[in-house]
Amino acid sequence: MSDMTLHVKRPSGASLVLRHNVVLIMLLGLTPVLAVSHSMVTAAALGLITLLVTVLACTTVSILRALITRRWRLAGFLFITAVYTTAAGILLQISHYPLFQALGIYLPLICCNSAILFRMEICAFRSRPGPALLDALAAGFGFFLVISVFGSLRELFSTGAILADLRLLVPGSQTESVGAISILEPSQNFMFINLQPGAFICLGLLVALANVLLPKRRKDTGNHKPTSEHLRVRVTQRH
Amino acid sequence: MSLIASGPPYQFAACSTNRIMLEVIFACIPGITITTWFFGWGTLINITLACVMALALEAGMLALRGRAPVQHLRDNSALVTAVLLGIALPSISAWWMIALATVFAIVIAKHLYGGLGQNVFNPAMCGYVFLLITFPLHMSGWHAPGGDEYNPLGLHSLYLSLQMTFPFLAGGAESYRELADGLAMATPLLDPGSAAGNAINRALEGNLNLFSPGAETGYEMISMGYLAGGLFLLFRNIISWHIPASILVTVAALAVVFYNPDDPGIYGTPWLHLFGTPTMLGAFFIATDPVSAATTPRGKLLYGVIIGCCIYSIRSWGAYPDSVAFAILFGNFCASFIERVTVPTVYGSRGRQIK
Repeated sequence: MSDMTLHVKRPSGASLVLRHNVVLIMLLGLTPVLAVSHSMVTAAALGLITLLVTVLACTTVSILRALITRRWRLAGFLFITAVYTTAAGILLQISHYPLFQALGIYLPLICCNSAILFRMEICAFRSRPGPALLDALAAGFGFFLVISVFGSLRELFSTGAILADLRLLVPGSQTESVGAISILEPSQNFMFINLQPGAFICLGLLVALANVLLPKRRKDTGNHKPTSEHLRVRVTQRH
Repeated sequence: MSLIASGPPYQFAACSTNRIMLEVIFACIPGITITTWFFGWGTLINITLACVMALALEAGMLALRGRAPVQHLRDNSALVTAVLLGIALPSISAWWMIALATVFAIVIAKHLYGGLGQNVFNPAMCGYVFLLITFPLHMSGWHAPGGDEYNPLGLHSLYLSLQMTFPFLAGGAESYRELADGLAMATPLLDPGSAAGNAINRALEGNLNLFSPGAETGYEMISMGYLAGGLFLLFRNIISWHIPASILVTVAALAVVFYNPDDPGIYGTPWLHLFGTPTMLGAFFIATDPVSAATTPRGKLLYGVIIGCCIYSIRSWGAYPDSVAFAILFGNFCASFIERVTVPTVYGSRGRQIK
């Protein structure tokens, strides 16, 4: 371990689920969150696959960390993630081909999800497989939680129902609709939220809400001096 | 003897933001009056509701941002946004639509960008476009002009307008829908018959009274009203001629080029594009918003040409019934890039310097 890491209090463990959520606080991996969240089912499915890939890839990186040289670690991370992403894509094509089609390019794009790279760089590359697995589980679950909630909110307000695409989760190519739950009057649908600018504005509002609701990060106690190598991990302006 | 050292400027302009905004509202009065004359009370109700909500939201947002609400409310910019929004929305909008548009305009388009002076996009047009793409159906019904059946200025018409604004007054969704169907019509831009015509000329030839509510000269007279208001603003030096002139010339030129004398229903006559549509309102009142428009003289001309092209092309080939709001938002988006290529040359420097 280099000297640098001693000074940094890294967010880890359970706080990654909400307090240091990769999407809401770190603002990482936003592309899939914006792109597939128009429907709750696709959002939750992509979140779940990302969770699985994160856990497997981070654990693998942790196991293989002695083999990966520091200089070439990014290539290693990407390679390992790409292996699991490709496997997930192939498996999904076998059982849930319509879901695979609905996710489109965003399924292969999991392999360059910055949230996964971030956990590998911060935790998996530097710790034993056990902690790395828990860390990846927490981060991936935080991602899954946000993308599912965001997807259901967007679907609810734009179509007045949720779970409209539930058929995508049934193995095989089911064409009949199953189990949609209508909640709002269809005449008062918010088309805007289903469109791309709506996704950006809703995500912005969700991040603002998280900034208000989530407990503030404790102030640094000051027993470590920030050095020029101080690793900055938070991109929001909260201190 | 004491010398008081003070920094420039030594001459103060007599016009403050507060006064400019008041004069803009004043200049809207002819247009609003003519609208009310032909189409009843809906627009006035819209404007009143939007003003009350905008002032409340503005005060709330200012308080949240730690500014002194009373002092900043006095600049009247929220009132101008509300008046323009009230004019732009269909006069049969329900109160919650006006509320949504005002929230989007004041909270998201204005204060989340940093308040007056920082907003990239014109708040009123953001609120309007937000409603247009969220509720395209609600936004495409326009109040039919008054006729023999009822007098747009009468008490009965006021009662109908109030029912449209507050649906609970109408007593049930069914009667509300019937009322809406009775009062609303599609925008005249969708109707090739009226698209080809020139209602004012027809009225003059037929010796009809231009101001009789049944004469269907309403839309064109409203444009005249906004043209008069815009000329007042020009005369008062509140806006410069560059933006309105370049918008109107571009729209007129495109309309002349594409005009088809055999079948004017396709693209409409140049007259329709200038006077049968909100082009005047957009060119004089909305595109000239000092915050979101370009500021250099050449920049203003370019900005107007871009907006004019967008107005014509989105109106003629786009899917939405009208295009002024989209065109102005696109112009706002371009404004900062326009400024970069139209920086005036500093006196004494050699050639143009673009950094």
